[in-house]
Parts: sequence; structure tokens; C-alpha cells
Amino acid sequence: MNQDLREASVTELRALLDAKSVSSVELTKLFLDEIGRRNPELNAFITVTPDPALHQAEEADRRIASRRDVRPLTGIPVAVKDTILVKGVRATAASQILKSFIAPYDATVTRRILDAGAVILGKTNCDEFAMGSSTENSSFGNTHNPWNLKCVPGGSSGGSAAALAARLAPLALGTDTGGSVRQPAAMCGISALKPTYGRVSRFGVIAFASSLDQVGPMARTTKDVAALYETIAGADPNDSTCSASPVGDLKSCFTRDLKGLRIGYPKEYVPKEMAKEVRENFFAALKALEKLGANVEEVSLPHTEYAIACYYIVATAEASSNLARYDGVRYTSRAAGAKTLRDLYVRSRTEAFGAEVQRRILLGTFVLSSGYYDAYYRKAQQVRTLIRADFEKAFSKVDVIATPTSPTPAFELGSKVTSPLEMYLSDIFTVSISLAGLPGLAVPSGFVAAGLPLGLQLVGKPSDEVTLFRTGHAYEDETRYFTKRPPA
Amino acid sequence: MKLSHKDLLHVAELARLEIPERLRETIERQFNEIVGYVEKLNELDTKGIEPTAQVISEAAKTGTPLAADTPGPSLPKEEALRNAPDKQDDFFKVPRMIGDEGEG
Repeated sequence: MNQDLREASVTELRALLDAKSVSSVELTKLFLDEIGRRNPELNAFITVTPDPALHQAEEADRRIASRRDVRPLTGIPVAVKDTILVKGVRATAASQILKSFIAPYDATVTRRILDAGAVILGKTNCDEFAMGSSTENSSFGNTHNPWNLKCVPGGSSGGSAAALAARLAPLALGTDTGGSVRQPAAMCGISALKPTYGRVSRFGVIAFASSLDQVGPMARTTKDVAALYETIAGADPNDSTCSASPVGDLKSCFTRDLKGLRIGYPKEYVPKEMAKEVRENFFAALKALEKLGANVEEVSLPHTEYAIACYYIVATAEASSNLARYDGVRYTSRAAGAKTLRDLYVRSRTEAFGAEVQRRILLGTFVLSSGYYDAYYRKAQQVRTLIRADFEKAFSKVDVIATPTSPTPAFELGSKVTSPLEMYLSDIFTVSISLAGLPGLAVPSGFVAAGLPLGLQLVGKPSDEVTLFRTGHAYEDETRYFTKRPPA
Repeated sequence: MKLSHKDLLHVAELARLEIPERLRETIERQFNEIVGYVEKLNELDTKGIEPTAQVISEAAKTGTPLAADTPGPSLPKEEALRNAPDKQDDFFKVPRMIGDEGEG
């Protein structure tokens, strides 16, 4: 029974909770016990919050008993990435500079899931300030991939992805700037959405790159991702980049029929050098989509090869500005014995920021500095226009663009840390989508021979999450990879 | 372009970071490798292309939304000071440095 409960979807849990077959308190205790059992070896969570969780669960049970205002997420446990503020709980962004920081307010997304009656189990591990693709840049230790403990879970939302894969929570929130929910989803065999930029409020989310960051719902199935998405999406007066356009009909999109859907795959995303297993897996996914009635054709995104260079200029520039606030003065750790203001700033930051964070701040500062701004930052913004235009052109012919999510399955811990550039290059399939502000859904697409998961990425027109959910659900219902579980 | 040691020191100072001497060579090499890579963008002719700063088409049409100028509740002082490394009464406390050299 317990194993079944940890396997259950949000729809199934809702039915069990409403029928009083299980209480939210029992369910929460079940997940907390499993976290206690498995987190020492996985390190998916930085902070577990059993007391607030049980209070939230008790409140949810009262709400369910009185049948008043019971919503899809009432009583359902959620894991939250440690870059998203939960009031009264430590928020570290996996950085030593925030190791003692207690959030003074809730992020809007936190407020929305709590108002819906969800239960927050704890804060998950990630790359420091969301900068990374493997969660190895966390200053709170590595997270291990539940499918193979020697491997990374992906990043930067590796803790959330690993928690879902290990059935430590049925739902999770992550953040995605250049692929940080989609790529760990692929590497951990789960599903995740990076919404259209502006769909979900960034208020109370520790900023990395303000024109790219989005909170991403993560779960084991598309339907569960959609349920979490519906709870968090929508206009917010506290975030002026947050869109007021309606989220769309999320009830009737879960058919199994893709007839009439035009899917394009960009030829630049299946280069000759791509690993054979990844290529074969991707083309098998396209075949499955065709079997469901979709029309699949090749498209072109000619500026793909410039996306990483563009991203690492734009994102680091924005990060250098966003991370200027961590200065040792108001709410961070502070270096001892500083005698001048400059020393206070320099030593507080240098002593507490990790190497990758410092590298990106330096790069971002450089590309914005006097004499170099036009040659690097302005140039990158112009290339961003070209990348966006590529997608606009492709979307005049197709409704969905399908790509592999990652060029490789999860790699071994430690295998890429000596070459930052090599790590950056692994983001190739996800960064363009972020630069263009488009929605991207990663769904499990099978496994390589070594037993590690792969993911299919579905990219949509601006604000067309509904078509992505429709496509993703039909595909996963046909292939059912989400039913496979990593070794206990 | 390749950044010299002096260039990198200047960037670090702008960012209020210090590169430790023992790591200087590695950081310089990695930094120049990344800068060399992003210069790939020079292969593209971007004459006349408008830069994209924002990817919300709605904002482009209506301009930046502004809130009405009505006062409302804000973060209480105790909350704002809760994470201060050092504080006194209603103030963040910092080392005395007015009149000292190196004012930041």
C-alpha cells in the first residue's frame, strides 16, 4: 500500500484523500519517512521541514473533511527547489553566502501552492544560484541520480528531479534559465515544463537571469505537471513581467489523439556527432508521435550553433547584476575583520561564492564593461533576435517542435568539472528555447542500454502550453516510460 | 581577444571579487577559453538587427506596467533585519569606515 501511495499520481491521490482512504497527514508522514531513509545517499534535500509539513497536512485534512474549497493540490506533498522562498524556512540557493538566510516572505508560487492546500516537504538541492547543469556546483554536496548513484541527476534543479525519480515526493518545483528543469527531468526520467517566459511569477525566486528565469513544475506525468502549473501560473502584481493572458483549457487537452498536429524536428538538433543511442531514441519518439496521428517533418533553426555563446553572454551579464546584492551588509554571511568597505564587499563575496558563480559574475561583468559592451552584450542581444526569428519562422509551418532534451544521458559525477566550457556545451538543446522565451516540456523517452533515462523535449508557440500538454500526455500514455522505477 | 592579467584584475575589481594568486593562472586560462568561444558570434552579420532585451511581446505593446501610487503594507522592520550579520536597534551594523581609505 505504501509503495503504491508513493507511486500514485495526483489524480489518484486526490481520489484517495477525498474518499478518506488516506489522510494528508498519513501521506506526508509516508514521504517524510522515505526522505529520512533515502536522503543520506541521494542528498536530494538541503532542508526537510517535517513540522510545518505536518501542520499543513492537518489543515488540509480539516479542509477535506469539511469539503470546503478542496482543490486539486489540497493535501498533496510538494518538494521546493532551494532558490524559491518559503517563509520562515532557510533558503540557501545552495550557496554558503546564504547558508543562514531565513526567508522573510513566501514566493508567489509558494503562496499559491499553500493556498491550494499543498504540503511542502522541504527544500531541494541545486547548483549554486541555479548556475550549472549537474547540481555539482552546490556547496551542500552532490545529489546522486536514483537510476545510478555514480551519476549526476542533471542540473540545476537536480534535487527536485532526483526526489521525484526516487518517489520522495509526487510533485516538485524547480527553476529553468537555460534548461534547468528540462535537462534534469530527462536525466532522471521524469517530466517538467519550462513555461513561456512571463507565465509564472518570479517574485520570491532568487534571481539568476531576469529575462530567462522561469519557475518550472515537475512531476512524473504530464497531467501532474499540468495540475501544478495551473496552480502557480497567472498574473501577479508583484512581478511586472508576469503575463495576464489566461492559462487555457487544461481539462480537455488530455486525449490520446494527435491527428492534425504538425510536429517539426530541427535538422540542427540531430548532428552527425550525436551519440547513436540518443539519435535512435529520438527518431523512435518521432515514430511514436506519428503513430498517434501527428504529421512529422524536418524544419531548420539556422542559428542554433550560436545559441550557447549568446546564452552565456546574456545570462552571465544579467547574473552579474542580480548577484551584486550579495554584499555582506544586510542578509548574507559576512567576512570577519574587514577594515574598509571594499574589503567587506570583496572578502564577503570571494569567501562565500563558489568557483562557478564567481566565474559567471566575472564573465558577465566583463561583457557589460565599458569598451566591451557593444562587442559582446549588445551583439548577443542582436543574435537573440535572430534566434527568436528562427523559431517564429519554423512555427509558421508546425505547431510543435520536437528535439532531444540532452545530447547525453546522465554522466558520471566528476567527469566534467575540470572543463567549464564542456559543461556549457551540454546545454545545446535547451538554451535556444529560453532565449526565445518559448514553453518547453520534457517527457521521458526511454532508456539507453546502461539503464539511464533519456528525454524528449517538446517546444511550443508562445503561451501554447496546452498543445504541449496534449502532445506530451498522448506520447507518455502510449509509451508508458513513467511506470518504470529506479532501483530501490 | 585575450585578456591580460591586468584586464582580469580590473574586471574582478568591478565585480568586487578577488582572484587568489594560486588560482590566477587556471582562472585566466578558463576565462580566456570561454571568451574565445563566445566570440563565435562575430561570425554573424548583425547590421541593422534590433537587440532583444525582453521576450514578452505584451510589454512591447503596452509599455512597462506601473502600480498605482497607493501605500500598503510592506516588510516589517524586524523581518527586514532578521538575517543581518550584525545589527543594532533599527539599523544594519557595519564596520566603521567613514574617513578610512578604500571606501569601496
